[in-house]
Amino acid sequence: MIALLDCNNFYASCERVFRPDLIEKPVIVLSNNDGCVIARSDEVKKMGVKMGTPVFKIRDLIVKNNISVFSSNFALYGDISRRIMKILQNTVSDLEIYSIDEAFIDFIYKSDIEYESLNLVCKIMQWTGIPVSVGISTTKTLAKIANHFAKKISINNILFLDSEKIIDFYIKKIDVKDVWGIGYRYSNFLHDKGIFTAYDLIKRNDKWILDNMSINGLKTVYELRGIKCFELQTSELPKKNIRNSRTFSKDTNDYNKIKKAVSSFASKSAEKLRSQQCVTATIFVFINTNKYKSINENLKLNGKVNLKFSTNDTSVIISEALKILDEIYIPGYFYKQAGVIISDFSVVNQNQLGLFEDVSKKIKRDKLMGSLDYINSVMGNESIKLACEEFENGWRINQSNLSPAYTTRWNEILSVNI
Amino acid sequence: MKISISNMSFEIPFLKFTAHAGFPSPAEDFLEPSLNLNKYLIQNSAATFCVKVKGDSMAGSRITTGDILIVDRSLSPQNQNIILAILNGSFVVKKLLISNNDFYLLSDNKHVNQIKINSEMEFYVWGVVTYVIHKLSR
Repeated sequence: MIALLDCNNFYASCERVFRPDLIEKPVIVLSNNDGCVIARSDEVKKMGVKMGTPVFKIRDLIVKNNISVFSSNFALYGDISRRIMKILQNTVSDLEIYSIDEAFIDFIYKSDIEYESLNLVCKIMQWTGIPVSVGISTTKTLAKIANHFAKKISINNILFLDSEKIIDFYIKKIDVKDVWGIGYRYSNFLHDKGIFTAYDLIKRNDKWILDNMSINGLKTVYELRGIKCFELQTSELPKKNIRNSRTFSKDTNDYNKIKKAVSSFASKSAEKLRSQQCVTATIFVFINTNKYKSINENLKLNGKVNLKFSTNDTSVIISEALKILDEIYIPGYFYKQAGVIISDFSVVNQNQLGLFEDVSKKIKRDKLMGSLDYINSVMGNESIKLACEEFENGWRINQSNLSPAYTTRWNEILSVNI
Repeated sequence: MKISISNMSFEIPFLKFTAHAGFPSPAEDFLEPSLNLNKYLIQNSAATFCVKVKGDSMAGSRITTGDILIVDRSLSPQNQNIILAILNGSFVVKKLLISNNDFYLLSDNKHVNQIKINSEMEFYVWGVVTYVIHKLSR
């Protein structure tokens, strides 16, 4: 039996742990640049606010209903997540941390699964203040569905789908678009074909599914039929790509500004890459115009480069990213967003030296990068950086409603008047 | 050597440097990690939080303005425990008194003030205070 444990409205719940005055009051959390809604308390969900709604569209609703608005505080959410995952690691043996607020658990002994689950829900609530739901079934895909309904209908936030009859009942109720692994990519296509629920889908034959939805689609269907295809990934794999992007606080047509932003993203990416002891061979850069403003057509520009020698050197990654930017940038437009994605990693020791690579220079650069990371880790992030990176924070993050980093910074811990 | 409270500690025990000339340190093989205050003050790190206090209503329990409380949410509150609690939407730090199935919250200074919890109050315990970090010279 596999369980999916998922935190309820995670970011909103984290804010509430330190703000008891907001319990049972509407709360939303906004994306990195205060752009879109990325977490909603139950009260806000009931008002019909959808995930990803741009905040300017619900300004009136926020004022009218006195909704508390928070900028995303990832220092806090990351720490609370770490605590929850630690509790899980100490309680269950087979665990896959799937995202910041979700984990798959393999329950080997069937007899006391519901008791174990209830125990976890209570323990996490008491120790961290975060409400969680547990969906249990025979495969990961069915556990996801169980969790979906556990949040909606279960009184104790636990739903156990074991018998075929119960599984059938729920997969007849779930829209294919809400099935793990189907998503928006296939849902429109399936709706056109008259397939609306997960139950409709599993009644199709294997060949049809394989022809129309590839092997992964077929695996999903098997999982819906109760046949395990996706195993738990219990050991943490190194990240396959690193993405750094952000929406500008104000649309900009200033090339230098965009250049500095891209330099900073490239630098951040290089630092993350070194922290997982990898080198990258592919750099991808993109810039987008604003799709909500009609004066601009919605432009999505991007380009990538495959490097001759894999690297994790900040200055190399920055200069390659800027070359791409130079090629894709079209003057005259107002840009909303920019980003850098690096991929195609290999581990440092496995990375062979290029035949024509200057070895002594490489060793010196490695030392320089090591010192850079050390100084930044001791003196605080971004104490030193390359001159082409951004120094003022103007374009950076709009975070007008940021809560304190209650659990990670001494000068921001919870303060109580007694 | 400095004792660091944070998890990030960059100090290096000085004995680890091998002596290039002269005699190697006889303590080399017996070197132990330096004292770790986290280990002493925190029994359950997943459930432990630090909270700063303002005010002197708990001075009798040696908690005063500027002190940092170590709060463990995993402990079940017992009679006479100092607790961080929510009372009608606000945080309070009080001494918990349990007698005959009644719960009382006590302040602890010159004017001892006692609140009896009744069913109309919104009340729950946030965590149990396990240590107070109090700086002597300010």
